[in-house]
Amino acid sequence: MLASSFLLVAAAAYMGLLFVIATIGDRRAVTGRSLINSSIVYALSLAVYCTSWTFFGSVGRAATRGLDFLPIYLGPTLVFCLGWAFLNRILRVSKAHRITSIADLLASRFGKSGAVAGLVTVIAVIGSVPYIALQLKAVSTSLKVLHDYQGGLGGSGILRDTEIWVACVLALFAILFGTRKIDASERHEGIVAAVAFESIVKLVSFVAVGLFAGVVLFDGFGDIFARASAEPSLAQQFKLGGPLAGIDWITMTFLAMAAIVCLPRQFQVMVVENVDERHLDRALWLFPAYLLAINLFVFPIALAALLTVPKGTDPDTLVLTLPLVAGYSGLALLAFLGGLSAAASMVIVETVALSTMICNDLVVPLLLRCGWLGLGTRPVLLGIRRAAIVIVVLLGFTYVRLVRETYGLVSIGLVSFAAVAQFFPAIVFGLFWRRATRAGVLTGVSLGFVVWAYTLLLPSIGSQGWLPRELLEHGAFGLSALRPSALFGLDGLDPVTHGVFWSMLLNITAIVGVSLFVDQSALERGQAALFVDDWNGLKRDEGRLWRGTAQVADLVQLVGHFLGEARTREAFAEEARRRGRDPALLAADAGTVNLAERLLAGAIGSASARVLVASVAHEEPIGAEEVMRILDETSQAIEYSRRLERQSQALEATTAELRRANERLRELDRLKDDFVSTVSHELRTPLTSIRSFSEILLDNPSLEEGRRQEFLRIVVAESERLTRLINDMLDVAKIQSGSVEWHMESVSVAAVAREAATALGQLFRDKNVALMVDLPEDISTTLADRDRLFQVVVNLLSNAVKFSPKDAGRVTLTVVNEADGVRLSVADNGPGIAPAHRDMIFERFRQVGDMLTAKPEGSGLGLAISRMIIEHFGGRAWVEDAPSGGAVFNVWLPRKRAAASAA
Amino acid sequence: MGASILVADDEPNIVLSLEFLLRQAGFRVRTVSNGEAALAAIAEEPPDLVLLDVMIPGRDGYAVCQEIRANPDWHNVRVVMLTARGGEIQREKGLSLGADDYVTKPFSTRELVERVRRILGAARN
Amino acid sequence: MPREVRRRDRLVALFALGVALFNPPVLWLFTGATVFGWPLLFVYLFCVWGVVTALIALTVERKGSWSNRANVKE
Repeated sequence: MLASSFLLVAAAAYMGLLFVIATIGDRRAVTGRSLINSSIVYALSLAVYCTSWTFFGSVGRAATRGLDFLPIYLGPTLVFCLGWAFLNRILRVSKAHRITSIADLLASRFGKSGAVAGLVTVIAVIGSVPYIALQLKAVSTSLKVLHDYQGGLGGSGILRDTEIWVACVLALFAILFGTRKIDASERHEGIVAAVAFESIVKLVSFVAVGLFAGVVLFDGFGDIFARASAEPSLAQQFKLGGPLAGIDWITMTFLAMAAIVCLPRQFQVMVVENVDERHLDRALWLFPAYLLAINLFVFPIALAALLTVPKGTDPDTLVLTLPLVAGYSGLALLAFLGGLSAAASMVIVETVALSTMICNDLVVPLLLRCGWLGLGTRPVLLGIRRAAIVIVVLLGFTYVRLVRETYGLVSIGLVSFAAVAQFFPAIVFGLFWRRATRAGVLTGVSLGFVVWAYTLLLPSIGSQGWLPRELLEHGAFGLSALRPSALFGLDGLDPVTHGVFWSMLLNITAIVGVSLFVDQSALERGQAALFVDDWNGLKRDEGRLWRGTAQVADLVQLVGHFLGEARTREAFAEEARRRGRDPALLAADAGTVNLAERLLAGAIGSASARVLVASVAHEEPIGAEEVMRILDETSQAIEYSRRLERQSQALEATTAELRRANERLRELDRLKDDFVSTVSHELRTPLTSIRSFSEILLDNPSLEEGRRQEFLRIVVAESERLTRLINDMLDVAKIQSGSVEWHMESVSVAAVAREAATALGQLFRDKNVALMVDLPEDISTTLADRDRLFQVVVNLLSNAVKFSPKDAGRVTLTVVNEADGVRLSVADNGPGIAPAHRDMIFERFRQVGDMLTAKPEGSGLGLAISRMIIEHFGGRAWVEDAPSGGAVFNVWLPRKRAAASAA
Repeated sequence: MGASILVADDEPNIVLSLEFLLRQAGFRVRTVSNGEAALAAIAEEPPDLVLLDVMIPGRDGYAVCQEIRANPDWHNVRVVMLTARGGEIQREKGLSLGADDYVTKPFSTRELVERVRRILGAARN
Repeated sequence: MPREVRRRDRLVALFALGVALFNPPVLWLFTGATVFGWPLLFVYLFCVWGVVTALIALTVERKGSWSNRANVKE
């Protein structure tokens, strides 16, 4: 009826329009005036859910089974009631972790597991291929219907193999707008804009057909229903069947609820392409409203078509044949474009989403493992994605060719739904149950997938005759319990319901069961906490446990390979700004490593990103105990208090040390005060006499001569005493400060002793004290300052005289050789020195004698000076009891070494 | 009849000068050279005033002063401490022990005699 | 802000109610009969659907978004 050339022109023109819209969308995105930054566009893009299955299939199903097409749209409506409790959470957590696909979401949640990502991708691809095939088939079928109806212009070769052309155009579109660039955000505004536009076309064309049916063909919808109810076969469609139909209904509702979240294309438009979280709010009712609107006319159209169209027409083409039969080819063309829109948007978005998953979750990990991913990565990634799109579309095309006309559109769609529904328990548990483990999810999803393949995929392929009929009819190994359509003897259910029941049962049981018995790794536990407890992404920088070493330069270089140098630098600079730091000083810590991982995750998925970042950031494994320790803040507090305790102990020790030092200082200070006080006393005493007698002499000029002489003599004597004192004090000071010039030479102790005895001869004679000298001839020499040694001997002798009794005194001076030195002794027969005072006597200003007698003469410094001198010579000075009862002052000096004398 | 003064010091030349000065000023003077002798002399005949060196051998000047003040019979004995150690602490200590005055060596002879006279005069009035 | 939490919880309750209303056995109550010639099940489902959608709209379109509520990270 419609010229094939006209049809092709219309279809091409429409596709051209989509290209233009997509191009504008991409351009606007670049200039920042986003075409899709609106909640209405967002809701319309979600309507990618309504594929040709909806457009053609729903009517087909309504025509055969009544209202049971509806659960597929009621399920999403119900899920959208959970927008704030569930969808928003997926959105938020995905944005926080830069999730790029459903596979990425699950992989990231379960410890950035490459296995999870790969498994999910494989299932998604296998599950989606029939669905894509369904779209291609729908388009080609609709083209054929338009062309062939009533004989038309049959025979055109171009239209015979339309699937391949449709596939090519859609793949081209997906490649052009889906793989233009590798970006951390993975958004494709052009595609979203086109999809939203297509959603409008879908709705408008379908509603047009509906209104046409109700208003033009019939006298209102009531008329349709009335006339349908008149026909018993049609009136049957008004009803919902018995328990089995009820179970199917519930199963489909569940499948649709799972699909709206798990379908790769739904995840793509709802999560990945989301510009602003708040768009979800309005979409929560706009999308259900859209579903309601597009479904409102399904049933009336189906009934109208059944009443109008000749029996035997393919129910899935009724939307087209109804206007055609009525002669409204223009409307039929519009309906065709609506169906084309539905199919095109699904194929494009699905292939883009799948290509991201195939690239990030299958190919890149494989390349990483083989070490083939090197420099110049971006073109490689884009190439992988383009190839993935082509392959997926080709798979769909192949499926169409191989599996012909066996199942209706809806049935194929439901099989796909059942495949992706295997992810649903993993997502729900992943987001709400922290204990859900990687092992549990791998087991559950694998089991579910195997059961799905066995009960749903196998029969759909097997019916083509490639598989032994025995397998399908009698089960594997001939076990009837393993019949694909009646597993474990569960017979009589709709195949989809049957497959969904068993796969979901095993899936959920395995996830829960395995999770309860297998422990999580540290990384898994960390990710679980981020997804379940911190789904706002509030702690995404701080919360991630990371320990290791990394260089920011390495990270930048790594990320740069994938995102480009400039963009990467910009991202890191932004991070530095956020932290208020100089970008040059940005440290390679958990935050920057996470940033690198997040940026990479946007391009290649979280699991691959983790492997890559780990290659430059040498992460140290964090043990489970350590994770618990870090997580547990109380243990940190305990650690602090322990450290504090240690510090306070150290402080106490230091304080005690300081106190001791202070006491020593105070003691020294007191000693210094004592010394100053003593010196003062020693100086003031002679001064007092000098002053007093000087004043007496001055005040008494008429003093008799005898007294005057006596007083003057006292003044002179005290002056001399003062002089001696000052000299001695200077001596002490000089020796102590080391400023004395020592003239060390080989000295004969005997000679010095004899000299001193001679010099003091007069003193002994004055006091009538006997001096005996015992100096053997063979006395060794010593190394000393001769004058100083002389001073010592004189001091000792004069001391002895001082303490010896007048007239009866007897002093003995002896020098003897000892083993390695020379000893000089001066013994007297004076009062002696009590043992307690024997050490003190060598201290400054200590004069020990009979306290009741008058003070002896002398400064009190003589012995102190003597000891200092002797000690300088390397000898010793000490006092002991004399056999005669007095004191013996001893000096020992080391013998001069032979070697030293030779030199 | 001049007041009686006991001089207690272990420096013979200082004792000699004090004895001369005080005699010349009209006092009766006795001298001792250590703490025990000083107390014995006071017990024998309490003087009007004791010139007491802090650093005398035996019981030092502080102890002797304390002893004097502890004995009610010697209530009227004035005490003037002599010291060759300077410093406020020694002065405070002497005065707190009941000394009437505290003189640092070397002293002005005239001033010392003046002080002795003043203390004895004040005591008499 | 418990206001948004309360609204979220009302939506969750609406979900539970919807699950009950959109599925058998409730659906069996409306099967077969007609109202003014229209199939009752058809009329019922679309009416409930419309009401549910309207209730979502009434809840989320009020002032104060859940996204804004939790949108404290940036």
